[in-house]
Amino acid sequence: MKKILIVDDETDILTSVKMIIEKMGHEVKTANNGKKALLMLKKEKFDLVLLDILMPIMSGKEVLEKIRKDPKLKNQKVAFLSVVKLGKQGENSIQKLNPIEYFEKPIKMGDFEKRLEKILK
Amino acid sequence: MIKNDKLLKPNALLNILEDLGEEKKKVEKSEKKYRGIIHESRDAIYRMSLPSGQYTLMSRAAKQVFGYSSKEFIKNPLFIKKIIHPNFKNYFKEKWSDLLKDKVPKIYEYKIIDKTKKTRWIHQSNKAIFNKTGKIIAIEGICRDITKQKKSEKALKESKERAEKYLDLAGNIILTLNSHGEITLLNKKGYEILGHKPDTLIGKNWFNICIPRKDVKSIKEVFTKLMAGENKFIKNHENIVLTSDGKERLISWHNTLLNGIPGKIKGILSSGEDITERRKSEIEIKELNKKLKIKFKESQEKYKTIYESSSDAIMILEPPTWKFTSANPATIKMFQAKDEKEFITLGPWNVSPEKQPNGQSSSNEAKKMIEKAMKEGSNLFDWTHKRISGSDFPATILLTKMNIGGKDVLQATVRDVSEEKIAEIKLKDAYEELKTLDEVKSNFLLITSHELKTPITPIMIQAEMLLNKDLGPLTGKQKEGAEMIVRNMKRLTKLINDILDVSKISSKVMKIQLSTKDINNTVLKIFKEKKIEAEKKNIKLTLKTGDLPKLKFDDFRISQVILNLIDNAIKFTPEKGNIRIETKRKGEKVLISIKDTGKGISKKDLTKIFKPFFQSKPSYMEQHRGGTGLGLAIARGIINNHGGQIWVVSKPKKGAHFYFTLPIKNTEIKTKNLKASKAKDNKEEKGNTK
Repeated sequence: MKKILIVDDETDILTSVKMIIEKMGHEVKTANNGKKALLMLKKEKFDLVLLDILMPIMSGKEVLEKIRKDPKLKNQKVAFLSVVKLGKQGENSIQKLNPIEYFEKPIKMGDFEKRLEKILK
Repeated sequence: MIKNDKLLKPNALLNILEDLGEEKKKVEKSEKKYRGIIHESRDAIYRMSLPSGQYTLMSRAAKQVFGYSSKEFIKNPLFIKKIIHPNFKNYFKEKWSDLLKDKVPKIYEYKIIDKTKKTRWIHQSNKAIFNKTGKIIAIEGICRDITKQKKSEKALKESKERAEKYLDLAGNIILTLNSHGEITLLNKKGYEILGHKPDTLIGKNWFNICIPRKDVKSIKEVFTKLMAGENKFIKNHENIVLTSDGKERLISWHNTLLNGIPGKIKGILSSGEDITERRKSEIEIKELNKKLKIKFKESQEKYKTIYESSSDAIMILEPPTWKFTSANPATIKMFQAKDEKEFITLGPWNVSPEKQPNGQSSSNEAKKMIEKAMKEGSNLFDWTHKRISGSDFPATILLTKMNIGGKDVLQATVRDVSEEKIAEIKLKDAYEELKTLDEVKSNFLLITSHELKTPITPIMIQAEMLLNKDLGPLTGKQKEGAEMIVRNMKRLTKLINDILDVSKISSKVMKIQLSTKDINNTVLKIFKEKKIEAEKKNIKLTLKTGDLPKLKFDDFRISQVILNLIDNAIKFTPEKGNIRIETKRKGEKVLISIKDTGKGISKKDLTKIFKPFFQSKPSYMEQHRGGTGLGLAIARGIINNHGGQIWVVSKPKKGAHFYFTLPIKNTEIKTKNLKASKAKDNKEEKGNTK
């Protein structure tokens, strides 16, 4: 069982994605903005962070930048989950932040489960 | 006979001497009688014995001829040797030695120096006297002083030479003909013009050689009558002469008759000038003049027409005041003047507002513009004018420098551009509005598409979870409902993605990410996926890959294109049909084709299918419910972004053949915008109809 943090400003998305991952047998915690997520990351250890990009207060990109700058967190596994279509590699500036995977909303359940399991190993 | 003629002719004298020689005895008898005759002669008669050189006879005339007395000759053998001119010493030596060899020329001519040291020319006629054995024993002869004759001969020769020189130097032909028409003189210039070698025409008939055949008869007739004194003498005339190489030259003659015995004409002296070129250029100038006159008249008329009927105001301004001196009807209308009379009391500053839009005073600016036009020949500029009624209007003015009657003036052509200016502003506004609208539209599509995806995400997850019975068991109807939600959510997602792509393409923000790959792998991966789908519809999907180099392309986007083309082919191909996919190299490009055996595309639609939101109607709609009509527009955007081309060849009922190319040396792909591909659109549409 792995511990995953989902960050998204949309409650319905948080709930729905949480349902899928919990169904897969993992522990899920959620944050509805970047600031909260960073606070949680400092307190607890997560196997994976699923990060939305377009969010108020702080964008997903900014959150990941902070993570990569933090000596304790810099090796944190982070995947994006966003409506922004970035192709397979994602944008250069995002790619530099070294996300482990990129999921495009809306996700297809079967495909999502497979890819998520793969990166959690 | 002799008695009466004291000035004996040399030949006559010789005859006498001959008599003397041959009938010596007779002579001796009447010696006294003859001696008287001899001594009365004006010529010196002598006899000299040979080889002694002793003069046995020298008549008294020796004094007149030589300037020495006969006694001096008689006393001094070879006296002549003493008095001969130094220049003739050698001549004497030669002649003396010849004489001793029995050679006696009939005539000697030499110079002597007389007692007063003057030079005299002597002409001497000789006769040799032989003995019975045939040896010369004496020489007899007559000597005459020919100094005067020589002098006049020399003067004559000199004047002749001088005359000939003049003739040759003359720029004109100088020709004399005798009464038969034969050439008796032709100068160098004459030969030069006629093209004959010098001195070859003397004695030849002028008319037969130098006059063109067609003219010979008439000219000869005139000449003959002239020679017979029948015709009135023509002092000047022109006629054509023939050169040695058959060319014709026009000669202008000035004639003088040569009179011989009074009343008889000896011939004609003509001086001729070659006026061929002059006449030719005269004719040319005349013609040119004529043409120019016509042209001038034409252009005058044209100008008048333009001036009178132009809708542009045309006026003339003259220095030094630069007031208008004339104005056409359009000017009067444009400036709302009463008539031309009123207008020409004004200058440009009188029909301009105080200041031009740039803040400068109109009179200063007008002066500047006039100066520039005078310096450069013309000046085109924008200007604000003022009508006499007081209202301003924008204009463009062309000032052109002209020379009228030797004076540099300016022609001003004024065009009222008020309407153009208004139209220009309207057009600019409309363009800006459209541009803004387009931006708004693109942004709207981009934002709404993103926003739409957000609520779709939980809907999809929940519906799928329902279907997966993750939320508990479902009844048959509930399952059907959940399936319908998922199916339509997928369609909605595809539509949103397509709209996003199209708006990215039209707002030029689509990015492609190049990596070097084997495109055959990309095609093969899609082929494997789609083969199963095609087989379900009983369609045979085949792939033929060519030997291709690796190339730079965006794998995700190119996959999208290939997928779209294959999806379309599957949709439009009926059961038992074929879809053939082929990749091959074509020069510096890779060519990929997807050919189906479906209904094909009508000629009318071929040019439109690559445009966004286009769907073939109605046959397409029947078969293709739910298509967004964006797939091909997106495909074109992606291919153009790669520097490639996409087109279709199709005939109804014969299937559609889609092709696209990707460059192998893809060095200058615009990864950021689609500007470069815009120009290629036309090319493609041409290709579409082939």
